[in-house]
Amino acid sequence: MELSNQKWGDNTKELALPKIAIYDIIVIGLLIFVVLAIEMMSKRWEAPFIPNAHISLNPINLVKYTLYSATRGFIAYFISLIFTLVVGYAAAKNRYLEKLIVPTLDILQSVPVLGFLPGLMLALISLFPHSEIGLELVSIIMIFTGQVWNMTFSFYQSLKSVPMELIEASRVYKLSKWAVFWNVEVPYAIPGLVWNSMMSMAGGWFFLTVCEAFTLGNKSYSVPGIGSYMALAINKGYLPGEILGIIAMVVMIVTIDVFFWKPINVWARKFSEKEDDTTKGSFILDILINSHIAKFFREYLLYRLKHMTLTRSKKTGSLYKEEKKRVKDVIFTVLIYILAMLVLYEVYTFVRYVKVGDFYRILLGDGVTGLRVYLSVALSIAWAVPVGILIGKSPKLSSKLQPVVQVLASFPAPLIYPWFVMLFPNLNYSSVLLMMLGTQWYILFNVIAGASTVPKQLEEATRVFGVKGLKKVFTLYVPVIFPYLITGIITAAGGAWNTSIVAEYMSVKGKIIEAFGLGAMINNFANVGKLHLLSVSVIIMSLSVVLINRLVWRPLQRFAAERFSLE
Amino acid sequence: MAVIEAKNINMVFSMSKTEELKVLEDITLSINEGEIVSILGPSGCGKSTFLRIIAGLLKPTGGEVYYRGKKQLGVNEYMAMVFQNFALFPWKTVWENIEIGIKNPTPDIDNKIKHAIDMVGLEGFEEIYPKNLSGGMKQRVGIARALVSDPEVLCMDEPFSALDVLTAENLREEVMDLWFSGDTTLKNIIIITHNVTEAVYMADKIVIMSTRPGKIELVYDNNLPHPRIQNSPQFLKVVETIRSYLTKHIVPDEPQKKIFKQILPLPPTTVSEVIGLLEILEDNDGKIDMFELSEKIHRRFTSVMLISTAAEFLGFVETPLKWVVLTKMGRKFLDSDVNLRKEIFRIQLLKLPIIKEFVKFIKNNENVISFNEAKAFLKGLLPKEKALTVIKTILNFCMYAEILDYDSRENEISLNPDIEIKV
Repeated sequence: MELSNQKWGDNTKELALPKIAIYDIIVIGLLIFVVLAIEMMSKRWEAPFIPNAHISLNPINLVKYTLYSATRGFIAYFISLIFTLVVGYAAAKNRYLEKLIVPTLDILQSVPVLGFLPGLMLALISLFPHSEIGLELVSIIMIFTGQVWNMTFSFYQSLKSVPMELIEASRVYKLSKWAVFWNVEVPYAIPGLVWNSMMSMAGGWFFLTVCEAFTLGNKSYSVPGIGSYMALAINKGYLPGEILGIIAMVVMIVTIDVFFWKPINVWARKFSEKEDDTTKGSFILDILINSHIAKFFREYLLYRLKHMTLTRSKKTGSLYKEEKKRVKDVIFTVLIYILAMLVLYEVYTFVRYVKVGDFYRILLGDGVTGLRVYLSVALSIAWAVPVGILIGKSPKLSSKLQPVVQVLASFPAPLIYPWFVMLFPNLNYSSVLLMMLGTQWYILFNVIAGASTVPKQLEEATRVFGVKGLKKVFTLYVPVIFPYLITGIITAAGGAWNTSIVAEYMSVKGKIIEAFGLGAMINNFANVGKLHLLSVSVIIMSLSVVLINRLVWRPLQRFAAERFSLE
Repeated sequence: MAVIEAKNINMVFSMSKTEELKVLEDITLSINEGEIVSILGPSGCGKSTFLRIIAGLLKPTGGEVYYRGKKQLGVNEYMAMVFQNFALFPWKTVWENIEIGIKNPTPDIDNKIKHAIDMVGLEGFEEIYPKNLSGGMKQRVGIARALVSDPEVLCMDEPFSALDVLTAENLREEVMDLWFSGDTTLKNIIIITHNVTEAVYMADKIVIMSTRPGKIELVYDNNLPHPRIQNSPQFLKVVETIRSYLTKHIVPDEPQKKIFKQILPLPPTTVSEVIGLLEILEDNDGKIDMFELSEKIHRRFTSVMLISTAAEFLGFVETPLKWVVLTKMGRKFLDSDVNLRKEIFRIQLLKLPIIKEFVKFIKNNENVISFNEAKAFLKGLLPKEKALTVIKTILNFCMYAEILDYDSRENEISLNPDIEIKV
């Protein structure tokens, strides 16, 4: 690390006479690109309202569509970030809000949020009847719901674990709450937040086809983007378009990774306490560090920002304020009960009109979809555990394969569903494969992470005592990866439940193909506008996800953490 | 005039809805301007809590703190704090970390920071991140950060105990140099420590606290002239005085009779520590000074005392004042092979009332009890102690002695069926 790069305010000479270097040209190029993208997007937003965007299958237009999709992803991410900072902070700081927000996040994290959206969509579209903003917002919010929950959760957890001494130090030196937030809490949360942001962005792309082209009460809507392009190409059976769409998607994912996540990831290392602070590893970060323009902005802005964020509290610490906790507790509990009653009543008004037959059908569909979900998880475990162990225990292999696996994992699997359907036309069975396509990576990732923590000494011990083959796998690797595997299963199963909405129902070459299951039912109910049945379906799916997690996986996770932790 | 006055401070933490832990009881202390005060006490006596109450970081559940006659209602503006684990922000450079200490921004911030960096000898490290610094350098940053806040009182919470011995020695001396240089705004230093030599070296007033609940046992005025020389006879005499006070009052000798009559918890140590102590004693002709031993093995004197007391419970040593002396039984134990050692251990353990009661309890429950039942039973026998610590120590000793078996899968404690145990 070159220390001088980190310094600000002592290179006035260079600042006065900036030499245009190659780095500057690249930075200027990037800036122009960003400005153009914003310009293009804003034009789209002002355009008159067209429920079904005219999408041309001409490959040239795909460039524009890719930019549209990417911009939507970033806007959604930006909203997620703000949501995370506000809601995560509120949950960590207010114990009443905490009791409300944390379980809600926990549920939303593992539930098909897309099912909740139709009502919201109608509202937004009618808010802006004359421009495209409404439709765009719907699409962005749908992407947002695929991104935000685990980010908020991670931020909340980081805030809860800031070391006590750091908090005390900032209180002794009178940092204001605002200053503590920007100087202590956010920096402490950054490593976790960056990691979860990367996962979230990938999660956001997953439903891109659904987010950019959706049906609601026999009206269909779409906005131009890769997702809608693919949807059209699939429907028309235009193979070159499908292939090009996939290529565009991969290019977009890799580009965002190189230009956005890689530099951020390298930069975020300085926030961890580990002694690994090389800033090497991202050429974009090198450019940003070495360019004069970026340096000017960095120094000027950072200086400004520092003054804005490092404020001191005027009054002496308010810790002596005695709160009347009892009274507040009672009021809070009463409010919660009232809220719960209201929700129950709302649910009741919906459910009242559901016929018993429909109810049974939904329950049966839930069972069938559940079977598919866990079958797909089992199949994923079957291949991902051995492969994950192989990759994880060899640093060489994992450094080579990690980027590949990452791209594969962030590729939205629904884009290639139609091809699978051509191979296996019976969706009742092939939907299991489709679920797997999307969610096997969570298991693979976690197994790799687990296998890379196998202590070298234990590895040596097994070799010394001649423990080999399967025996070695079961005495050493399986116990070590077990806690990681459980985490992977929870995430993968959650993902598979979500995926059922796109895996059990799709339109290919103008034909609707569906399987028997709750995912397909949710689609059908949304399409014919049976909102009460839709709500019941989503509630039942949510309940089964939450129940299985609470009854099976969380206890197993606790058991695993107790039994197989290496500490 | 007293600068800081703590009056009848009480502190109770609620552990759960039903359990409360009394950490501080009725502490009254006044500190005069110009004094360095050191608070000395065994681990767990609540000295860090007391320091945080003085600094206004914690509100006591009873009593008040007055600063220059004014009742303290929040974080004290005139105090700065140096932490045991440094409390530096890993994402801020040395310079930026020190900048945090500046409470009232003035135009000459940069000069002030430079001056502080100069004082603690951190020149050239301004743009380094703390993770690239050694422990000693990190604590220098902590001290510089405290100094730039222009404090009147510097609160130090075991500032040198995370450092190696040499670095600690060096930094301690530098703090004293700063104090006497007159280059700072400091009027008082309050330093928490468990190191007697450190307290005698630095402090004008040594406050000795006892544990459970934390109470002030003695306030000792240390009038040795500065600079103090650590191996001068006067210095050693003060150290001796403090040490013998500690051995007499803080971890008092239990008379042999009491050990075998009263239900006392086993001191929280392990079998291997006790045997280790015996081995060291053998190498030292059967007699050693506890404090010398604690410095030799880099352990707090309280833990050395606990190990010695445990050995005394078993009849392996005697502890006249600060000495630990190997007994005949101890020698016999050392000369035995593994099986005989276990047998001696078992016979000695079964003489202790607490073990007798515990074994009886298990016998009455058909030789098997759950861990939680054991915890509840011991809580009933010894309501003042932490049941978890008590049971862990008992298990450690009794498993070695082959009195008890513990199944961590079922979380069950049972009597060893292979050996007949009579109580």
